Amino acid sequence: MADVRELVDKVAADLSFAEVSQSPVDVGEMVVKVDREKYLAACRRLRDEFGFDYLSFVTCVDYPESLEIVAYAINLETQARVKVLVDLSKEEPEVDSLVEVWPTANWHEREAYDLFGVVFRGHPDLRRILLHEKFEGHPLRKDYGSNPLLKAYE
Amino acid sequence: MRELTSAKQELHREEMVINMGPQHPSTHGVLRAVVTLEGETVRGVDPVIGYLHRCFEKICEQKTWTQVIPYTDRTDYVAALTNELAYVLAVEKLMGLEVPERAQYIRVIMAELQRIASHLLWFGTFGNDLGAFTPFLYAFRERETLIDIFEKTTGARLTYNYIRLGGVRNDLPADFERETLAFLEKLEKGLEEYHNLLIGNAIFEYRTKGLGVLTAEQAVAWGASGPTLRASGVAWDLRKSEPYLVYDRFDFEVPVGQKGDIYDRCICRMKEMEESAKIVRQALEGLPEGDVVGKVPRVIKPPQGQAYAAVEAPRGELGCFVVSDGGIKPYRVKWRSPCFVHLQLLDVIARGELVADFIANIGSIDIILGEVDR
Repeated sequence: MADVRELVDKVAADLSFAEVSQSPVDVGEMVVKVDREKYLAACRRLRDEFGFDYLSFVTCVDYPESLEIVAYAINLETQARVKVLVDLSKEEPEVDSLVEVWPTANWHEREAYDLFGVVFRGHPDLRRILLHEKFEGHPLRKDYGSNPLLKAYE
Repeated sequence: MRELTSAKQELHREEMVINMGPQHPSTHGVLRAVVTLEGETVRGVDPVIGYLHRCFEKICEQKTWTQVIPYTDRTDYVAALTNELAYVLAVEKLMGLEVPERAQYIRVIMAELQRIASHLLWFGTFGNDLGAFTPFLYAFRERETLIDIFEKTTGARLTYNYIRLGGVRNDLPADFERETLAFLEKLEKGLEEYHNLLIGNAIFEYRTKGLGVLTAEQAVAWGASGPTLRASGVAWDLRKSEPYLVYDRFDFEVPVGQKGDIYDRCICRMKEMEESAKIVRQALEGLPEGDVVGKVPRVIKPPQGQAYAAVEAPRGELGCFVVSDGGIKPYRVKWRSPCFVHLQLLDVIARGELVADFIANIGSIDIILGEVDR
């Protein structure tokens, strides 16, 4: 398994606006934390300059204070992996779409839009994907609540 | 004559949109494909999914860490053991759990047998998609023996709940080795038969060669993985690139295609079965003695944080991203399903081809809708 310690220093020097570290649980994983406005630029730089040509997935985590976007990419040559994190405010959950960097982001972002209500700016086809068009709400948000039947069962 | 030519020029041309599915026999589950046709040529595909959506990720947030394991079985229900493996590896990574060597070997054996079972099912249904019904019966004959072995070991035929945090639920039964080796021998003969029956068949070649081509650049850009990626000539296999468990101790090859057409994807899967058989043989030979479950706390409470673990499932990179808030339930579980990603590719590979080959294209990316929709 690739150790990304050296890569972390290189990326930190290149992306001065980002917070770069090594994952505490995984030596092969680099964590890049960026602001919302620098997200697209950071991802493009990671692909073009550091060879992260393969996007594994994009998803979202609903924390009490914010929504966190997680984009996970792999460098197929060195086997290094990178996790790009962005914090979004719950009042304005909007972020740039990664479709122009990695086309595969298309459906992942549609899923995050569907289940979390995150709006991806510049996405070519942002509609619901798993739930039907007329569904209301975004079920993976913590405030959506859970199935009352399941609660009764507990 | 003049009248005829002018009539030809004025021939009414129009694109037609048709719905295929959701209850179409060849969609491997419940998939609706909105296909735009010009005559018989496919001009665009928009897969509509979600018919089997069961809020798997939301359910996980309401169960304890161990209660999630049986739910993972229900995503990709023809390769349940690899699903459990992805989830368990992610949680173990987060907790830093040690797994006894014997348990790791057993996991490898089970994961590889599962790959064979899954590929056999693909082989059968793919033949069916192309109009050859007999291969289906042949493949299921072999698969049945394997399912019996799984049943004897885990107690279930499809949804096993066998791989646990820190190890596996129980040791292998006494005659596991003999039965598995007997099965592998049977499989070898079976694979030869399949070749004569289907893969080497001229009709099969006509229907698969040069169709559904996916270039290496497209495959990487669209996030393809597993045999679908390797058929395009990219030798990326998580068992080699990030050897989890004890895969680095075994000698096996990663079959790679060249053209990235349907035929190459088929050949990759057929060869993978042989390689998996090789791994199982080596693992059975080197199977160490010892415990099958490590030291695991009674109440599972992983420390706060995030972890991502991916395994090479029969269909590709199956990943599980877990987030813990330090409690007894997962804060978030994200399922990175290879089929979900591959279904996006349908538009890329089927565009410009005949509608008759559309079914072959769906079959060649080997989707399981239970995993797409979760």
